[in-house]
Amino acid sequence: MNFIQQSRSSITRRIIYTAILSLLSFVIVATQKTALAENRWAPEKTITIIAPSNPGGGWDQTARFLQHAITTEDLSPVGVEVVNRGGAGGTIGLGELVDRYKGDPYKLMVTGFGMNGAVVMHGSKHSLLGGTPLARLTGEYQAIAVPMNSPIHSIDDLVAALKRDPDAVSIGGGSAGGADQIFAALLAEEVGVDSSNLNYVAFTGGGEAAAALLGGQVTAGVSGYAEWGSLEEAGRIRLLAVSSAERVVDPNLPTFRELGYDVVFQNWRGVMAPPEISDEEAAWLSTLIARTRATETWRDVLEKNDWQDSYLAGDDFEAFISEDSDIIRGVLTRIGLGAAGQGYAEIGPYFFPKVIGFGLAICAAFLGFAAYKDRSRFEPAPVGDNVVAGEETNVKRFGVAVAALAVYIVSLRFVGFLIATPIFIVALSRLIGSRSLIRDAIVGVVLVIAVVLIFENLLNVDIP
Amino acid sequence: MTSSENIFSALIAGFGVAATPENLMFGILGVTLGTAVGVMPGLGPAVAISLLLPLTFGLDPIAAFIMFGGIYYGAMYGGATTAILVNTPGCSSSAVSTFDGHPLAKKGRAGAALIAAIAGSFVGGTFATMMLMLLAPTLVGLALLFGPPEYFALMLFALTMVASIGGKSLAKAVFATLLGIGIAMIGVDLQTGAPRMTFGIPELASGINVVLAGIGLFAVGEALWIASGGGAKDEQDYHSLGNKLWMTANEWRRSAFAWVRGTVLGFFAGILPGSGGTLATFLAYGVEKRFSKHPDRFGEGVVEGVAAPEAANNAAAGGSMVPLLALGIPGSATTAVMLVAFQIYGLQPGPLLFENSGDLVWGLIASLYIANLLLVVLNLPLVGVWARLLQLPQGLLYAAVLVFSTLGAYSLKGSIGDVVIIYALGAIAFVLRRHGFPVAPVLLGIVLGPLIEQEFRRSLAMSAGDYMIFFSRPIALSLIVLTVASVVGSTLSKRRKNSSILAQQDPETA
Repeated sequence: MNFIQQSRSSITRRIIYTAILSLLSFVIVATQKTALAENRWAPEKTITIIAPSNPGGGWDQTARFLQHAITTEDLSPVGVEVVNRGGAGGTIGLGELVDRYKGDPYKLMVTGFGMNGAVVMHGSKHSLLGGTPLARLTGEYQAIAVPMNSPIHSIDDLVAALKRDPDAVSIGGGSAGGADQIFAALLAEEVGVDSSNLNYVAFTGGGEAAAALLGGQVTAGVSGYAEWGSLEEAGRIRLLAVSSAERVVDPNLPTFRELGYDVVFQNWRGVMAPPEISDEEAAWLSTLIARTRATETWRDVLEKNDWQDSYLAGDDFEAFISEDSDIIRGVLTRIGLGAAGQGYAEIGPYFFPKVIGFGLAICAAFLGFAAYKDRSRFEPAPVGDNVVAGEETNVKRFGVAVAALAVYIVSLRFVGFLIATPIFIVALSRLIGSRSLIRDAIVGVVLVIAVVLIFENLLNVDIP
Repeated sequence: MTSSENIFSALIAGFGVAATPENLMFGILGVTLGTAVGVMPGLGPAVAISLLLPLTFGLDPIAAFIMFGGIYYGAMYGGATTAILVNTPGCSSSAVSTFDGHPLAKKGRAGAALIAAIAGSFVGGTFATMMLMLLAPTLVGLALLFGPPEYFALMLFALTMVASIGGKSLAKAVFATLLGIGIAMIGVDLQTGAPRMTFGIPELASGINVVLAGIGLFAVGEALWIASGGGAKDEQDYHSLGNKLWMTANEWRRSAFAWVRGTVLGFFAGILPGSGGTLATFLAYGVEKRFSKHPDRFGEGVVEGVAAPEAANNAAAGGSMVPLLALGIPGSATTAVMLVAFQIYGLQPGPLLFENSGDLVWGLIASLYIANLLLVVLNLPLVGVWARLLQLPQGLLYAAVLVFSTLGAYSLKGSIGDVVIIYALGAIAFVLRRHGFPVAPVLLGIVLGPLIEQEFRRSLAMSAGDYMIFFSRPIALSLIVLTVASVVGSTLSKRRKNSSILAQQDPETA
């Protein structure tokens, strides 16, 4: 009894302890939960989507359609803007994202197959995995087309012609090392034609390649299906096959695979963020992309552009990227393109620069000789554009002007446009002969304020 | 596009859609913005349209297109104002307008030059829109006949224009042209992906494009020239500008032919994808000089020298809409951006565009007319105001030119590297001018260089190395014959002139 009492009291105590403990733990968990909720990151200023191409390119389109969908569907608490950072197949944009915007969760960049290729081709020190890949969004399948009056009616015809004489078959597409050429090479390799012998003619873009095909300038053309769609519909070209695994883009167009050529290929595009952003930030951005992809507006965008939804996120996406790089590296090495390549055409990339250099040397020699012959009549006065004879330029003042430009450009980085510009205006104005310092300073300040208001706020132009 | 009555009624319907007060407001906004970005070096219509695209998401498509049309035409004209007034073209397709436009301004005839430019823009734009409406499908067929060998031959012909713009020493002009072609080869080679003359600098990998070259050689070059004491301006000249703001009857007559020739040339150059407005202006100027009864006065300030290229660049803008609408192929940066805009509004440019979305297309064509008309209405009264720009203190004016050049170059890609490039080009232009080399051929070389090289190598890739490809195709062959004839002809006439009037030098400028 005593025992029971004792135990009972101990039980009561234990119950009380347990209750207190669980209450405590509840409080701890609860506070932790609220703390977690408070830690959940959300953006506070405008998010910038970098399009690593000039206006009008595929990445630019993707960036602007993303902006369009996010804005239309009201998915972001903050504004979204698009800036272009074109150049070098996207590696300029990639370098900037990885170096300059390290850890900045307000920057997103469109990326894709072409950038992966450019990284390999230009031997860029940055790779896609050097950033934070968020998701693959779209895929475009490659299709091969021939002009309507071509004797080639099927892929088999084209392959037969290729095998007979690769030189006689010219294939037009986008720039060297891009998705079009890589795909053409993969197809050649699949049918046992040496891809380095492929007579590939590179055009500036899919549009120009399409024009060349329509005009019968090339035997066949490789481009994204979307590029051909409306031309085929109008009966201007004949499509032979598409690079998807199943017939997804057009029920009447066979795939390479079902015709017995095992090349499944997509020119993908996706989104990445800078390296070293926190997990919360990455999670928020990934969610934004995932939610955008699920909207009606985005589905509409995909349909209008004949893009496939090829959403892939997280680790799978990263694994996909490195697989993709390996394939590209293999093809580029075999066809001998890129930083180490010498080119496949008879006239290589260094022929014209040599001719021009030679021509310049001849002109210089001729001019030097003429000047030597005429040395008695030598006149240093410049006879240039719109210059009245007798006008003198002063090399010293030129030196000062160039120095002013140099200082200005350096100070743009370190002091900023706002402060550097008025000083530059006053200095240059004085050099040109102005003596009213105060007027110049006022004009400089007013100009800078106007520029910032108009450019940055109204037009969204990035100011250095 | 079947019969003319159909076209007429469709166009009337198009005007019905386009000419609402609200749309006119957007048109006015577009022309104003376009003129403004055209004036600023480096900010061209492509940049302006892509920047404004997000703002138009909620708009009616016609309202957006009328604004874009206004921006396109406005920018083409806007670039000419600064070219004429301060010798700094706002975009590369206005560089040619400096040759005679600025000398005119120096003579106190800035008003006449501006009017020649506005009217030229109007004639070029209107005619181009009309041709676009009537003949787009036919013309597209013509453009498709141009393959790499034809382009190569055409570019060779264009290269002979250097004789018209190169000043008195042909050797110096050739040197400048070759320098331009050499500069254009910097960057990754399109055919092989090999980096050329990039010295491992990533900013050079994408090359030095025409836009940067235009800003650097002309705007920065001119500012450096002025800063170094060259061309110290006689204020007296400019104050007299009030007297003769309008063009004389004789100038109208001479300009009329220049507008027509410039328009035709510009329109056809615009149709060919990839060649663009800048090339059209060089061709128009060169041809105008050949046709002229007084070629030696070109460069001293003749209105034809402004009228022809200004008509040409607006006609080229219209011409580039032909492959865009009829094939869905953008022929220039601006039309590439417009293609995106079309797609956002659910239009798929291409052979079926007129059938599938006829009312929108006719609305668009009507809006191009309206934009063109608004350009004249808005800018003619402003001629006097623009001309007063010359009375601003020079120091501030050119300091502002440099600031806007910097902004323009930076805004293209957001890269300080591009700013360094335009400064370097400006310094090169200064050095050339100081030693009596003309600068314009450098720009011609930069425009033509990549086309000549790539089309040559594409041709050889097509023929698997057979050079006969250039001589076995009728169009290519005729263009090559024309080129040879042009070179031989001008050499002979120059020799004749030299022997007859040995003492007299023709004071051409570049």
